[in-house]
Amino acid sequence: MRCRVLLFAHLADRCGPNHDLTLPDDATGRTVASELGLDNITSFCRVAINSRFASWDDPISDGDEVAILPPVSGG
Amino acid sequence: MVVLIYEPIRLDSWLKPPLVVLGSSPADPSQPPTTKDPNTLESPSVPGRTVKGSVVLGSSPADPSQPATTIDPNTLESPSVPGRTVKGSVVLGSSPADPSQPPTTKDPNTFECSNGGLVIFQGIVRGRTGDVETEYLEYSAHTEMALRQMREIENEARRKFGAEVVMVHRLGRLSPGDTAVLVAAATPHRSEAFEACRFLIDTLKQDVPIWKKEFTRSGAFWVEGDRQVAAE
Repeated sequence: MRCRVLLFAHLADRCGPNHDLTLPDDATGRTVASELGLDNITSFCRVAINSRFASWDDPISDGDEVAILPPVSGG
Repeated sequence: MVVLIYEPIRLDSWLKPPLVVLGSSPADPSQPPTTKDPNTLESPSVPGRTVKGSVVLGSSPADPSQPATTIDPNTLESPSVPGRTVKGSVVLGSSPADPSQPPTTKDPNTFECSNGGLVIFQGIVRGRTGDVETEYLEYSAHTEMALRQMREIENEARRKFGAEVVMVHRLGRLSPGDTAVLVAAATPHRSEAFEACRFLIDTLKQDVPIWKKEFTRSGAFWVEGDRQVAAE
């Protein structure tokens, strides 16, 4: 399956803001991080699937948008 | 009402409860804003002119199940009076068109004033944090999700405190002294208004995907929660 991945803040600087990935059918947010070489960020970043906060182990479906969110700093 | 906007938030001196006007910027920034009759609901700085060139990425529709839509900022709908539009401004409450006349409930300009308490928080860009001098900031966001989160916070404030809510966050480049964020909560009494306003800003800072990149003389860094990460 395919999914669109969005990165933000320093992760976007480091890896680029947008990625289209082809993933195994049982992929999770953790799989996405791993594909991008970002295994170590799951301890302090959050993940969102289709603009909703999710768990790193939630399943991803074909066509989903996965956002990896460093700790936020709005306000 | 929730808004992400690139334009300045001009609140300045013309905040006169129960009237609160947010947004709109002068055509010529070198000209100081002039005091206009706020009842005309035009831009306070340029009579007859409404906000131009602003990017309003979404607003809170009456029906939260509806997706965010890109709206014309010149015809923002009043959050308190459905169906009523307000030129060039975001308005939370207003006063009668003719102050000498007593308000009537039929007058669409009359705020249905059950909210006697209004608390507003503005977050302003610091020029100095400890020893670090800030030259400017750049705010970026996951805009679709940020608006979704802001609407959820708005709905939760409504449920928990019965508050009428405005939340505006700016994106793009901001200088020290600029207002980056403004949240306001109106409730029947002051206690809930203070609580609701605090809830709005605290929750925004925790759960809305917006990031700031700080530019100083010695370099740039991302602020990510409590961490600073050197920008590449």
